[in-house]
Order: sequence, then structure tokens, then C-alpha cells
Amino acid sequence: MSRLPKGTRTLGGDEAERVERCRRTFFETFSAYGYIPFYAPGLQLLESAWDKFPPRFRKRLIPVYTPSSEACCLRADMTLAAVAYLSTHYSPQERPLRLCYAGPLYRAPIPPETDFEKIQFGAELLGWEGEGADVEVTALLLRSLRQLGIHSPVVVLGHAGFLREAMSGVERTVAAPLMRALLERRYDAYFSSLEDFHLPKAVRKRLSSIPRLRGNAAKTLEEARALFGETVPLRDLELIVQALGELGLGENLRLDLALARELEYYSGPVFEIFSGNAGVSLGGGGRYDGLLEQYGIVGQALGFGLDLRAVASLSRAEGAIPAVAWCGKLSSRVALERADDFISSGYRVELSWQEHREGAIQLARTRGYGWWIDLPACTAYELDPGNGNKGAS
Amino acid sequence: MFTLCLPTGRVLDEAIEVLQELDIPTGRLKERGRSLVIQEEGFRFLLAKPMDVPVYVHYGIADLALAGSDVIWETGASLVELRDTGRGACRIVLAGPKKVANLFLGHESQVMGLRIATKYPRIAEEYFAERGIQVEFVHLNGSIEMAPRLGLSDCIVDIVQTGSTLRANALSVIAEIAPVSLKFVSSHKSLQLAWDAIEEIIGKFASPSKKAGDENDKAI
Repeated sequence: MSRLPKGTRTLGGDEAERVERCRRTFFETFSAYGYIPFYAPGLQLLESAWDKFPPRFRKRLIPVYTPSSEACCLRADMTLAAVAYLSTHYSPQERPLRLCYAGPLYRAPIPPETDFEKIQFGAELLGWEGEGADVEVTALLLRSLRQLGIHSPVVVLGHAGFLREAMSGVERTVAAPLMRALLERRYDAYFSSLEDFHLPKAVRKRLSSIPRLRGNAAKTLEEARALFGETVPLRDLELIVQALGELGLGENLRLDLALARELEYYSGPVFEIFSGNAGVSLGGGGRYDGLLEQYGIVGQALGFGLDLRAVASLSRAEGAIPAVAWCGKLSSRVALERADDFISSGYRVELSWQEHREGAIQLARTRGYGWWIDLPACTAYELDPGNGNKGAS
Repeated sequence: MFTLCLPTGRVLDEAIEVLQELDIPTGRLKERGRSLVIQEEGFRFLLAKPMDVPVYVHYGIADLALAGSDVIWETGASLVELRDTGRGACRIVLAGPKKVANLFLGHESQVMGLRIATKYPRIAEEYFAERGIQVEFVHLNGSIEMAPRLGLSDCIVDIVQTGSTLRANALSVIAEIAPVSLKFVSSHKSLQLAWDAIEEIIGKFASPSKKAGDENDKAI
């Protein structure tokens, strides 16, 4: 018996096809806008990554040693590799750099999940110093999801800077547990911490409102302004909301001003993506300018990662029509040329060199395909689930 | 249809009382018979084993749930903890016979290697690991209190309400690990996509601080 390591899985058949279709759609959408493919090693040196990850995240790393006895972990994050690549391979004049990637990432699972290996698609826009990056990345992401037939994807926007500013007048001993509670989405603990500290009434009122500042973008911004005044993070968010609205993506947006992402290097707008029935997000991302600074680079950095399997499970996009193409007595050259014509008409053909067409039809049925193609007759037949052919085209 | 997951067992009655306080219809829930999925006036109630409630929420089957804080901690599920109802109050404790309890008063070397029976292996493991105490765990699913008496373990980690079961088994509380109560929890998705409905429900719940008179402390 061939057993797989616990927490891993083999993808094949329809699921693999759907994952691949999603990967290709993301790559096509992003590469059309100058995002270049990026492949990082499967291992990260612990000495480089350790201090960049928060303690909660470090507990999820899966350590290994290389044959050179270097302490590493299985790749848990792609952003660090992208930033390191930019800092070492591109001069300031060559920035910004746009990267996209797809590949496995490894983190110890949070129960009740059991898989520690996830296939992720992501994109990073690094080193831009003006406006527009947040809108570009979010819009391309939403377009890709729509293209994949994902039902009403919703991007929930927050701002790491908003939370920092909101806590800025509060002592660190008070702010730290409050921030931790928001990060862990333990709002009951957040309110109970608020009760534990003596805070001026106005400050308490503002802080108490944070977990409620979510939902419709315009309404949430208005409520936040009434409590916190006009701030840079709120202006940032308004610009993004306005621009995405103009692009016809407003209905896919919500705000959550209590949103804090697990990786603490996020410094500006952050977001999570939801759709379908799953209780957790498909992925998320945001701005991490501070991390770029650590590598001596000035400018913005923005990126996101999406769980490709989760996206694929929701995708309603149809691929090419699968069919078995019977070659009969055609020469290889003619058979391939005729198959090309069917491929360009939207079929995905599997050639059958069997002597009798019945063998090809049977193969199509075994595969669960709805069509078979008679290449000598240049005709495609729809298979009746019961018997024989239903129709021809 | 808004889906609420509730824990079965002795805590269900308290959960129903919480729902009644929030003006959520509970007539069919009270006369549920053996039904585990009950619908009433725009609500669908799922009745699940307490330890399974976070799983239904995590996978997005339920929008909202009432789950014990012990279960939330033990399962480790990634949920949004919205509001502590203060109901179903009890404690998770480390308990043992007097002889063993005395060992905990001395040097930690005296308690190394003890055997602990519990139905909360994750909580127990975290509790002892944080203190650097190496112990052995026996995972049981019920009647934990009899384990020391029968020689299966030296002490137990379990929930205690009045302490009468502990006393009946000649056990006393060695340490309080955490208070336990029923909490409103939601999935991350429901928090974002069903926020209006969630806010309407739990916003009605009178929090301890509101009862104390400060209207601003509890916004949700």
C-alpha cells in the first residue's frame, strides 16, 4: 500500500484540472499587466526568516536541515523571498517590480484543518512610490476571480495604520493586549481588556467602537470619521474604495477597520477575500512597506496570497470540452492537424489510435467525457449517457 | 435562513435561555424530540456535540454558535469570539487526591512524571508545557474523576461546576486553569458577510459591563 504523509495530498483528475485552470487564469491576468513569474526555493533559511515572523507564526514553521546542515524551514511565506530577490537583483531605477507565483507553502495546520501543504497563487508589487498600487492589485485579483466564475467574491478592506493610530495615545501595556485580541479576533477579550484599564471616556468610546466599524464601505468610513476625524488611513481607504467603485467593483467591497493580519509586517491597507460557503477566507494580503525598509528599499510593497484549491473548488469556469478523437487510418500528421482544428474550436482532445471507433467511444465513456470525435469524418459526436451518439457537430 | 449551532447536553438549556433573552424563537427547539436540525421563523438550529460546535462554524456550516470557552480552546479552531454570555459558568481545574495536591506545594521536581487523566489533552498539555513540567497524559472521554481512585492517573484536568463530583471522589482543586463560559462565536466569513444579522442578534445581549452601567464599553 502506498501511503501519503499525513497532512499532504495528491491532486489529480477534475480537481487538478480546476486548480490548473485557476493558476493559468491568474497568471494570464497578472502577466498581462507586467507581473513576471517568480520561483523561490522550497526552503527558507531560519536565520533570515525567524525575526521577520511573529511568534504565533513561528510556531507553524516546519523545520528541516539541508544536506549542508543549514537550519531551514519548508517555505511558509513567499513575500520574504520576493523582497530579498528585489533587493539583490534590481537597482532602484528598475523598480517597481511586479511578480506573481504559484506553488506549495507549508505551515502547521490550525485545527480542524489537517493539511500542512497548500498550493498558493500570489502576486507582489514592490518598490512603487506613488498611488495606485493597492487599486491595481485588488482590481486584478477581483477580475481574475470573476473570470473564474467565482460567485460574488468579497474583498474586506482594513488598514494596519488605522489601528496603530487608534492606539497611538494609549500606553503600550494597554495597547498590546488590545491589538493581540483584535489579531486573534477575540472581541470578547478585547472588550474585557478595555474594562480592565482606566482610560479617558472619549478614548474608551473610540476604542470600543473599532470592532463595530465594518460592513458597507461608505457607511463605515462615515462612522469612523465621526469618531476618529480625518486620518491618513481613512483617506487611503476612501481612495481605494472610490477607485474600485469607478471600476465597477464596488459591490465586491466591504470595510473592516478591526482587521489585523497575522503577519505583523503589514503596514497599510490590508485585505481578505471571501466567497462561497467556507467559513475562512480564500486568502488575503496588504501593504508591507516596513518590511521593504528592513531590506533598505524605499517605497511601497503590496502582495497577496490565495489558496488555489479553495478557489478551484468555487470556480464555475468551464474549460475546453474534453473528447476522445478517433484517428482511424489517418496518418499521424493528418490526425494531428485535424485535432488542431478541433482544439481551436474549443475541444481538448485525447487521441485514440485504436483500429475500431468503438474502442474510442468506449474510452470516452470510461473517461466520463461527453463527446467523441471521428477525425476521418471531421465530426464530433455528443455521447448519450445511455447509449450511442446523441448528435453531431 | 440564519444558521445557529448549539451544543447538546446539559449546557443546551442555558443556551436556549440565552436565545430567549435575545427574542429568538425557541418553541420548536424546546420540543425538539430527537431532531438535530430545527427550523423556526428564519432561523435554522443545528444541535451538535459541544466539541463539534467550533468545527461547524469553522467550515461555514453555521453563521453563529454558542460554544463553551473550554471547547474553543481545546479544538484550537480559528473562530471569531464575539461575546461572552457569562452563562454556563464553570472552571477548568487541575485536581487530585490530597496526597498528590501536596506535591504541587513543593519543588517542581516532585511532580515530574505524574500521570494526568483528561478529556482536554490540548489544554492540559499547554498548561504543563508552559510551566516546564513534564507529565504523562491519559485521554479519556468521560468519568474523568474516577481515574485517580482506580489508579489510572495521579490527578485530572477537568471542568468543575460546584465541586461536588470532585468531593465525592476524594479530589480537591490543585490549580484553577481557566474560567469557562458560553460564548457567541462566528466564522470569519459570517463576521464579514452576515455582520448586520449578527450585530442585530448579539447587540441585544446585555453584557456584564452594560449591566454595570457603562453603555460604551460593549459595542457589539
